[in-house]
Amino acid sequence: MKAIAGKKSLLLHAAVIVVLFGLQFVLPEYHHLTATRIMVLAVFAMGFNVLFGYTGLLSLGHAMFFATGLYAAGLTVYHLQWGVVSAFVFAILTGAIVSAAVGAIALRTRGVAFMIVTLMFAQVAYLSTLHFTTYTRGDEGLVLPESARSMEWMGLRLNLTDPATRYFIALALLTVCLVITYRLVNGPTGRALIAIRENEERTRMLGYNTFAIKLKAVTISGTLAAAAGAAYALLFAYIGSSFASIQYSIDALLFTLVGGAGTILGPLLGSFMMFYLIDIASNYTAAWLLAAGVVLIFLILYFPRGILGAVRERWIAWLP
Amino acid sequence: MLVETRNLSRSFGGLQAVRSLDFSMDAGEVRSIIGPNGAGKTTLASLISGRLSPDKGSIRFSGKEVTSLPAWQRVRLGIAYTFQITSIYPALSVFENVAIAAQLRMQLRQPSDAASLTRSVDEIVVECLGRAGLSIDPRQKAGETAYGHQRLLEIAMGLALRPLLLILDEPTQGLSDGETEVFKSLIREIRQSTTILLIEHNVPVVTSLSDRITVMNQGAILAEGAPDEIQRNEAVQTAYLGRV
Repeated sequence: MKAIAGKKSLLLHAAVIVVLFGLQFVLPEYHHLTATRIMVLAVFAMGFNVLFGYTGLLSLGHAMFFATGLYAAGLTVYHLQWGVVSAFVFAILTGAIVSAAVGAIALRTRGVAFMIVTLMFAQVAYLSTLHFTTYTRGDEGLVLPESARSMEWMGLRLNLTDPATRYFIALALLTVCLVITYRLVNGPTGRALIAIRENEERTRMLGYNTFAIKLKAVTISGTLAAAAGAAYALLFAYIGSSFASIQYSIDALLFTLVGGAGTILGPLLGSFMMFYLIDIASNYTAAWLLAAGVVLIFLILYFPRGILGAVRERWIAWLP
Repeated sequence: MLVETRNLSRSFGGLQAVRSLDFSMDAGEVRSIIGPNGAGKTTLASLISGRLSPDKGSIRFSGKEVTSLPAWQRVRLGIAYTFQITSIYPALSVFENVAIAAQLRMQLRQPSDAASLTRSVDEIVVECLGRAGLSIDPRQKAGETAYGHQRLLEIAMGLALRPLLLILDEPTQGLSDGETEVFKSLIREIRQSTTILLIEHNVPVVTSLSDRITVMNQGAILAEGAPDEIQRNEAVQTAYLGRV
């Protein structure tokens, strides 16, 4: 029975990737670009979900990790003329180190204190991007040079100004992220993460080093966020302080909540829905936040576990 | 000697819950700790399991100094603790509850634990549910099962760790008479493979199960001996059973 459920969920996730792959051929230009952006942001939200949805730790500072990747990739490309690939790898490593360091300190607290400590760290990161304006140009930001608009990869020359290439790279990143989280969640680590979420004290008394496991979760989560940030910088050739602001931390939370925290596909669905909701609403009114708010109230009233959370609860129990 | 504490003390504010306690028990024993409310029984069990750390004194387990080890490391050495207030994963299935414990045992892969080398987590779970006498649907949410089942589930989680020492804190609290009988036969089965430390209020349960009984009062050991010795002990009768 378990094996069948495993196969079904594997098929479902593969189908999502296939649909996204096919989508690029039918989408009009504007939506094509939007979908590219959303897929990168979905990676960010999926990283956030590893920590929030599966481990039960609410970080209010995930923009810091996104911005770490964004700036690590953008600044090395801009100031040091690094190639796109090395900048991306560097950004991921930096993301891993920063998230491990922040995690080691922030995890000394729990609950509301953890939320506040991560928020504070993120504020420090945000203000740093403004403070070191000589290098970052703060709010105004930097546009990456022409030299960073193409990359050599396995003998292939990829043009990053080409929409199809960008879509493909974003989809590839999303797929890798999906595979990583899928394997993580369905493996022994995932079981331990969920155990910590459900009852940390009991998990400790079953012999788990809960601190080490939570640190691992923060690091994986932060590294995925950094990978998303780096991809965002390199694909769209712009870095700026706004990406480090609390708005982006909240977005990750919002996308995850809407789609369903603790489901693998939830953040992806949530990213698409919220992005389009805000996009469409802002076409009609300047008060687009109102529309977002109404949707949130509706969701919390009728789908407190998010869309896929509700689907899992009511219909498809095998959804991971 | 499986467990040995020396000069163990722990206070909460002004209250000395455990004072300069020398406690020891052998491998293979079923030992019970009894005593009036506030005697320090749960504190002692928590000190041994590592949920609390002592103000003073030392704890040795299976020949190793464990005083400064965190709880999770002591569990890996073989000390399993089941909570006085049922502590399970209510939102997860019964199966998953035990699987979390079984998975840790599999990760340790101790050479002395042959089963962990050859069997799967799922097999261990099925075996432990069976041993604990839990014949309910393992897909059920643990929080939705009957209270008695939740207590048995806690024991199944303890068994899945294959501990050297199983500490049961007030295991029969809230159980019906019938469930208590099931529990008693369960303990008789478990003791074949595991040393058991029982913190218990229910005197008939204690006397019928234990090899030895330790009576605590005001953080210290008042008496220790076989069940019939304890029942005859005058100091115990005064402090705990009440003067007849």
